[in-house]
Amino acid sequence: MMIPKKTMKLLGPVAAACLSMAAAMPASAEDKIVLKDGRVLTGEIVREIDGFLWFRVNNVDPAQFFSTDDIKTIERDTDSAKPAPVTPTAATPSANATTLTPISTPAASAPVTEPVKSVGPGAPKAVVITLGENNRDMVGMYMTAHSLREAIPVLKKDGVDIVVFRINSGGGALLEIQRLSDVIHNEYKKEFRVVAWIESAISAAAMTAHCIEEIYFTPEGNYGACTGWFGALTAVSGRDLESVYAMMEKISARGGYAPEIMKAMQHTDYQLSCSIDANGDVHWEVGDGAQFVVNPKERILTFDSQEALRYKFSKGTAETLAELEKAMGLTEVEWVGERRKGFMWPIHRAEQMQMDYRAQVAKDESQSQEYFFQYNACVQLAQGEQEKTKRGAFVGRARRNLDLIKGMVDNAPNLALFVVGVLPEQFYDWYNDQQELLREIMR
Amino acid sequence: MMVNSQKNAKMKGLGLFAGLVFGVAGLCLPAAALSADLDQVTFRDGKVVTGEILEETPTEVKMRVVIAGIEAITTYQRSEIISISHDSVPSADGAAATGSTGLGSAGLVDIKSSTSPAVARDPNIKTVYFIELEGIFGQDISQTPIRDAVKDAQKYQPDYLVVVMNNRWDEGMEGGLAENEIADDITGEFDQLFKAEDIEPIFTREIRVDWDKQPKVVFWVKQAMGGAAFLPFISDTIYMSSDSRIGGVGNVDQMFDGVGDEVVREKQRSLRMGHARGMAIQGGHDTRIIKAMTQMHFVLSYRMEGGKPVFLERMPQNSTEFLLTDDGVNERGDGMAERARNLGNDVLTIKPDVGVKIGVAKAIVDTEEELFAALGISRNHEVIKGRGNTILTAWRDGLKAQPRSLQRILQDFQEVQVQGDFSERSKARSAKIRKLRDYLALAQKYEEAAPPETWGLPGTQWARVQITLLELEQMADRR
Repeated sequence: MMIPKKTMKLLGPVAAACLSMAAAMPASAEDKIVLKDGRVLTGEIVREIDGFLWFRVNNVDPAQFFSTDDIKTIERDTDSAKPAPVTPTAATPSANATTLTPISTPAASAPVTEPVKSVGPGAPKAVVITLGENNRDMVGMYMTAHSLREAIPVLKKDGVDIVVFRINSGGGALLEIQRLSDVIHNEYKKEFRVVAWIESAISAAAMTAHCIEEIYFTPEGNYGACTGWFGALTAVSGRDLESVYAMMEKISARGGYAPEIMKAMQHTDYQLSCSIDANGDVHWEVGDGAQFVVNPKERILTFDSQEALRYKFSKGTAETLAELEKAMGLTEVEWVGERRKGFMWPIHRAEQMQMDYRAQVAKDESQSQEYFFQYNACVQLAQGEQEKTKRGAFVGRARRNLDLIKGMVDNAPNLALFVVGVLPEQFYDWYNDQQELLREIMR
Repeated sequence: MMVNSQKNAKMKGLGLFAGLVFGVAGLCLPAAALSADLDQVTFRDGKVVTGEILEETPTEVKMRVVIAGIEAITTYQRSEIISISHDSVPSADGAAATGSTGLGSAGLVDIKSSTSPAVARDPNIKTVYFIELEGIFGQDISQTPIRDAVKDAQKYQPDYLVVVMNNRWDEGMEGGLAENEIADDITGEFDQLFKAEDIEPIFTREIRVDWDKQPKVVFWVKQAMGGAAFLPFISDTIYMSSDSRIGGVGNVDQMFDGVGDEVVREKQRSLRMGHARGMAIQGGHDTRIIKAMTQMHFVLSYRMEGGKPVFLERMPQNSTEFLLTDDGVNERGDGMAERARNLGNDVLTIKPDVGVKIGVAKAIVDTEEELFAALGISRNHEVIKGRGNTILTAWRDGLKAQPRSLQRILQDFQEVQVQGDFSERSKARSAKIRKLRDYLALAQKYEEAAPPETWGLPGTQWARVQITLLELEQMADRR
């Protein structure tokens, strides 16, 4: 969804007037943290979970991570003239900045009290992180490099050794694939043993997982169908297609996969066959000349779990955590997190972050039009209102919705593009302009 | 909404009595003994009321409560309720059972529950819980009521969970005559697979994770056409009745014909087949059966070896081999005579005899007795009479009543006029907002099966925008 043209038109002259003022304006938030090393930082608390902070120093991206060990004190912005910080819930924010608590609890019932099974001191620590879930699975919206990157400090803090990405996604935005691959390959793999456990990885989701050397499937798992398209099933073609091929050749190399496999998933031009030699090594080729025809002509390849195992694309098939442990060759492992009814694996904070993130994105996605509608309506009503108290009420409501809009993009920057139709930088310019407009209305 | 008629008569009597009692101030009477566990209703303001739900409609919940020993019948607006838990509070004589079911469950207190979960059983007696999936797949047969029914089953820890699949597949679904069954060759419902995928985890992952004792999940197919065809494949134990069929999903090759580029169409087909094959693998079935059911170009035959089928991806070459599906090309295409008689073989519609031969079905059974015999529990079984089928029936009935109920609410909303003095205008707006919240609650309840747009009615976003407009109007109003 675009920023409504009426709003842009309405605000145009005001916005232009404000731009020159914007640079001179103080930072939009003035939270302050005092670190144990003596540093005093001002800026904005972007996110806070269990005492860990993501803090935008001097209100400049990217937000930096600080753990409870680093922080001495936190002073939150209490200036009542400024808009209250974004809170993820629909509750009215108070003038005093409040903690950005986890947005929602998962649908499962209350946590069980049984402790996580303890293992020997040397056992590696493993965590399951879900990438996508039913109806919340779009790559670039619910599965993002941004949300994955934020989880790394939390994982490191808990001494996690193994990260299992449980993938359940029908694909999404081409633009996010390289980012996801980079964060997994350049950042996750440096710190952890990284494993993909495929429930469904279609299109961009498969292209994301393709940089991971160690892939397992659930019995119902599927992986492939990576043809790029847009609009009314129009295929990506020409130079754009070659760029995607080139990108995936590199990503295939990251995962140690023959580039022909991904090509057969992308285009019907690539019939795929393979031979398995006496050593059990698989040799792939385009065409039908090898021992097994994996993908017939004029078809697009999607692996099921049996095919993936047969052709040694996957390292194994696992329905449960116990089966996965066995397939991964783990004689002992500690699955870190909180055991909860309804979940197959313990929920680690990093996983809770993904769940919270997706829940918030889902809420914002479904309500974004209402946020804009309310904001625009309140601005118009405020501008026409002579009585200051009422005008303040409309401005207050406008501000709340503006903060919800900003919070939506703070949480998931790609929403600026998918929902609003602008790049994130343009969005924040627009946001600052709206802040100024609201102040003007109140004068 | 359906109320057990026998119970209703009893409740009406009690209600009248309770009304009389409630009117006499200061008179304390012992509360009527409740033989069933109590229901609990939680309100938006945090209040929690425990009692016995007598009746539920799309907009109201009627309960019998006991206060200081005095019985009273009281009605609550659904728009004020955030959750309803059935049988979740122990009565004087029984143990508590389920957790919250939100607003989605029909909820009737079955005073005559025949099996208490707490009763210890002879381990040699195998308990069987039936869940009957009837109606239109994706609407009547949908994940919320199925999940609630399975949760009810969980209380009893049955040895067998028998899912009876008997979805509607007739012209009445599309406005024609209900007595006209849709022929096998009308195969346009492959994408209902994704609805099957919404339901599948209830019987697989959720049972595996949530149940202490794992039941054997059995599918008894009386009709599984369209997306319903995929669901039985998640189980390795399928029985078919003698007039049953599994199919109606043979249109993958034609999907998106004429739209966009062929390579993208092929991608769409490929990903769907990946999902479909996955469901078959989960139940231990051969994926080639799914291909034969869904892809016209796929040729499949079989022969029997040692009592087991051996599949061949080609036409039969001798009399010991039997054709399941050909490629439907030229002279091999099904003619009108075959199609009209459900004898076509361009795609596979599994009939009972073939189902048994190719290993999809264990046996053909037409009655519960035959099923128990097939399961080897003829002499040592007990059927549990839980509330699962009541829940499913209530969902169906509620869904059927939904368009009328939504229209009634809309009419009530429109009839409220905002006029008069400030106080009257404020009250009118509040009344309109309440109606919109009722509309939202009902629309959201059945949104997974039939959003309001299905009936040509405004959707939930419209209702939320209307609420906003009224709130802003109120803010702008003056005395």
